Amino acid sequence: MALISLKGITKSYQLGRTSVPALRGVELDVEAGEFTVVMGPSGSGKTTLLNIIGLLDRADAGSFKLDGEELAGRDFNDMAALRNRKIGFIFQSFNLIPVLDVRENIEFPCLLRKEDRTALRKRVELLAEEVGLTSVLKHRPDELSGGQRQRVAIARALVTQPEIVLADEPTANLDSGTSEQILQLMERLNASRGVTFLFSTHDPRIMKRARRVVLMADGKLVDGTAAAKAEVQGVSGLDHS
Amino acid sequence: MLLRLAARNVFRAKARSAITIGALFFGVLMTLLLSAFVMGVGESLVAETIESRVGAIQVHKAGYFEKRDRQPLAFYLEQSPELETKLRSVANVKAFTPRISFNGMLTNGSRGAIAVITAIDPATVQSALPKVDLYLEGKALEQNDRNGAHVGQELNRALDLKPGVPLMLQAQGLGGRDNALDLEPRGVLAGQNPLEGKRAVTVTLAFAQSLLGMDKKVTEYVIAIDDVTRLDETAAAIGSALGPDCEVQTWEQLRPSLRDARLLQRAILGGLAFIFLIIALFGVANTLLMTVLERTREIGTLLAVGMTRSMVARLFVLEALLQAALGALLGLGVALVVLEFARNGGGIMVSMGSGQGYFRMMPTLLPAVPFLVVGSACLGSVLAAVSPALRAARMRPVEALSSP
Repeated sequence: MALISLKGITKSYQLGRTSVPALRGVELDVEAGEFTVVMGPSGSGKTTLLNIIGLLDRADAGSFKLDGEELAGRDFNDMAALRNRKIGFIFQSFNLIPVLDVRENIEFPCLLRKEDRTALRKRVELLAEEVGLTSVLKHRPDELSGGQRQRVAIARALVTQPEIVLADEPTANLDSGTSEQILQLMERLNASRGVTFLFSTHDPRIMKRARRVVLMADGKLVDGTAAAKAEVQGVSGLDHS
Repeated sequence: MLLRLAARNVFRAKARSAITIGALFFGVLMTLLLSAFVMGVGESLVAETIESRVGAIQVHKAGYFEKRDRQPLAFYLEQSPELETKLRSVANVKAFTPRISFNGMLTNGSRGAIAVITAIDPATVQSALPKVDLYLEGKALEQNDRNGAHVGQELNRALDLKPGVPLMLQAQGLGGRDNALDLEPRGVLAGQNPLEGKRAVTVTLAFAQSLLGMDKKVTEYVIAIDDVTRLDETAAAIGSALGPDCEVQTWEQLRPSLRDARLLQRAILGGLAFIFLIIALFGVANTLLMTVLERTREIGTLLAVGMTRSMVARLFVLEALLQAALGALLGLGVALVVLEFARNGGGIMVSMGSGQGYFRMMPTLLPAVPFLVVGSACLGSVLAAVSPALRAARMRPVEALSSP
């Protein structure tokens, strides 16, 4: 059974009196443990797709199952609880809470569900060690470099032990060296923890590392691997194997 | 967790929070000080009236108030030990003193003037009316000084009274027969009421009883009580103890204009406090709305990691509540310090205006007022926060996250 199963997902946005279709009947299955990239030109619908998978937005029609559970028609609080339990987010601009220090930022999603603080503390320390943040646990986000901030975001995304981590352009605000480190970290976490990663990106380095590339155009998935490989090669000049 | 986050957010935009907290601080401080000073003036005037002339409660013969203009002395009380024992037996009665109130003609041999006379018992008057001599310029009346008198300032001037000038009081006695006796001025009543200054004369009870043929008879008993908040209850108890032959009236019934002025004063004060707080609360609502708009993306992040709408709303309400509590408690603290200073300094001298001197006002903060003001500021801030908080809570995560 696929971890994520999308069938006939459609989504339109209203721009004045005009309805603009963003997704037109998307069909997608993502298996547990995948390291998958969604790519496509601007306006192709990849961010909308990630928003729907991340329960940040609702599809107009279609079926969306997460771990076999149908999510269409859930109310807001149910969706908030599912986001908290099953989904981790890594944002392009890190989106850390500026008034909380690193430890508190990482703990935050677990505190929302009132987890035991002692066990949580231990888990946060282990996670901080794994992502290389032990020395800055008491620092506020504005005292960190871009790379460190994204590490905090990664740790925050993983602390709830989610089934899937959604990353929207996670390296877009990082220099190439830091991007490389962040990618290596995510690859390692994918391998060691078996967490499913789903990216939306233009970064050829991520595409190169992805075990699966999903190509989108005009709100639809373009048939899989062959077109995606060609796109990757076209964009990056790199071989995709 | 929400509280910690709210507290940190309050101190995040320091200048803006300082303005909001400052507005609440100032609103609460001004409301409390205004309340204490206005209440102080009102209570001082009431206390002065009660303690210098009217007493907390007065007892008269039944029918006295209805017919006193035509037959002022016909409705008298026996100055009996039984009646005084009954008065003493009533809980909350602190002290009492007998009096006779009557009208007469005061003459200096060549000129005369109508006088409103109060005959007091020098032995007991101080216990029931401790401020009876507050505006006296001269010597207090004494038990053994039977013919001594105090004369109102204007009346004194009109009759050109000086030591050695002969003074005589003429009045119609109990049986309707006129009588006149000599008086000796001992002092001038420089009271704040101009009408009293033109008419008022104070004599001893023994003098009046002799002049009016009212041996062991008085027109009223003036009563002081321990707990002024139990005024009506005590008046009712006195009425029950003395029976239907007597009528009992409180100072509020005897001086309705003073009672009404006090009620009006409190209503105006309440209105002013309301305006102060409304201004402060508009500030809270405005600041919070700006905060919500500025933190839209952060709200999106909070929603993305699993915050429910109600948690987001509570976060902003908590922030408003913390700001209000901080500002209000600071305002309360400073107000209490200022009032303590004023009290330690023996109160504040307040001018009576147009050369009528000063009276000492003790700022008075009723115990409920700080709770009411701080509570209103907090509750009002919470209410002011509702709209911005709901705006934050109703955001769609996807839109909030895409805001700049």
